[in-house]
Amino acid sequence: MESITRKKIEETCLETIAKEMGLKAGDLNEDMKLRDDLDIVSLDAMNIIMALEDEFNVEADIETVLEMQKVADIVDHLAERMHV
Amino acid sequence: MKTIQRVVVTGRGVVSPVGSSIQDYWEGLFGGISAVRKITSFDTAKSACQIAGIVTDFDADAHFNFREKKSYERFTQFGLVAALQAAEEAKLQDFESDSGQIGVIIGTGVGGITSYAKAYDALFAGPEERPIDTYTIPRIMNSAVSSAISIRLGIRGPNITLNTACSSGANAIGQAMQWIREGRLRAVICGGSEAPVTYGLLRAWDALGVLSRKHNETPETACKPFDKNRRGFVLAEGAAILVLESLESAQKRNAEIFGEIAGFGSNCDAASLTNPDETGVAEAMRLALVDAELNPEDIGYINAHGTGTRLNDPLECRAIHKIFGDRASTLPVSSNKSVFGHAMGASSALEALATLLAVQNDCVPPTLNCDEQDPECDIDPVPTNSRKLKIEAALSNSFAFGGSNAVLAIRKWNP
Repeated sequence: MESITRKKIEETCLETIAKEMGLKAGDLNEDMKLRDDLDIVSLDAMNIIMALEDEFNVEADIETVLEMQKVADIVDHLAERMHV
Repeated sequence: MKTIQRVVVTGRGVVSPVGSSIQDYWEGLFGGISAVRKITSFDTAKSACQIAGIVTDFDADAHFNFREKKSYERFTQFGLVAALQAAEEAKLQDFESDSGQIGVIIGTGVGGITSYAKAYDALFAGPEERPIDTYTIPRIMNSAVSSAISIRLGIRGPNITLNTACSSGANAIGQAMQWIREGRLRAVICGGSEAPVTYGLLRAWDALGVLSRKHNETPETACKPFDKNRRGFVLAEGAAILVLESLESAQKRNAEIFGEIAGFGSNCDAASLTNPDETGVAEAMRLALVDAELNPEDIGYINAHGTGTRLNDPLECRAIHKIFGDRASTLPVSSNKSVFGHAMGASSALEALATLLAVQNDCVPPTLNCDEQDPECDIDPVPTNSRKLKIEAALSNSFAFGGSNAVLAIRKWNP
């Protein structure tokens, strides 16, 4: 089985955000702010996290997710939960 | 004590299978152009009824941004677009500093049923559960449509969603009329919205045996109100929204007036969840006439509930005879459901709009497919073609499962 890297998590995260928000993954980067740059509100964030949980078979911490500011925060949190 | 206010219509909006502007609705409905079609949005192979009145000229991208499309189910989109048309026609921006004096009350029967189906699919359709979209609840909730209207237009008065099944839209219009008449509000955006054409609901209605099953290849002939060979209705979708306003307010700002909502009869058969009751239906018509201070001879046209089912049509005609006596045999009574189907909670609003247009333009819309009139339906069904006719006032009949009847009396506006 292919080992999961932080890069892989980041790519999947950007693709998932793009799909949920009707954007192109290539236009996104992990320094972007969820609310100000991507117009992501809590309902969108929950959809994105659920899709990523499904993809990586991991459980995110909801309280932490709702506090996140940047794309990198999601990537870091998932990486931590997967011990990557 | 506040004065009793007369209530007039100053804005109209529509999304319907026959067209999604007032002009298109007028041309399609009064032109007798059937809008019943094959359902193509899902596989109907296992369904006995495979047709419905479908809105085909609605482009969500033209009206909504990405977030709105995500948040608003089809019935909310229909209702909001119709409300925006009505608000624009009524020039509601005149109320800018007075938005607490405007209310919103919208009827719907099944709300965001498409999103229920998606949520259940996520849970039950695959080998494993899939995540449920977080927008499911805001899309499902019946009140999404009235809330979306208030949010978009910045309206701060009462915001109510009402459900009395197939009379929802008429009850919303009637309630709005009462708020204004009592002097509680200056204006109310009211009507009905529905998008019920889903596989589950199609099969559920078909299970009741009330859908037309024999005309899948000739959908335009499916619904035959008052005809000997009628076999039921077809589902439909759409929205009709009116801006009602006190006459005083409309005259003060020189608003164009399209007609008067003169009376409202609302009652319950208190008899059966599914079968209509002749006494209750007749009483609703009588109440509307009394409320409007009209006599039966003042009524030139009745827009029937007219479902085209075995049970409804003769019962409705007998109820009309109870109120109108011998004149009922020659009274023009037509059914819009023959043209575009039965849009559940929105149907009575679509039909109230049709009645308003009939009175305004002195023209009765036709009943399609009434080729062999049932002698049990002893009225003038205005078959096939619309008819020019001087109409001072008309009734719009709506009856619902649960026995909740709503009849609106609509009078021509004579300045």
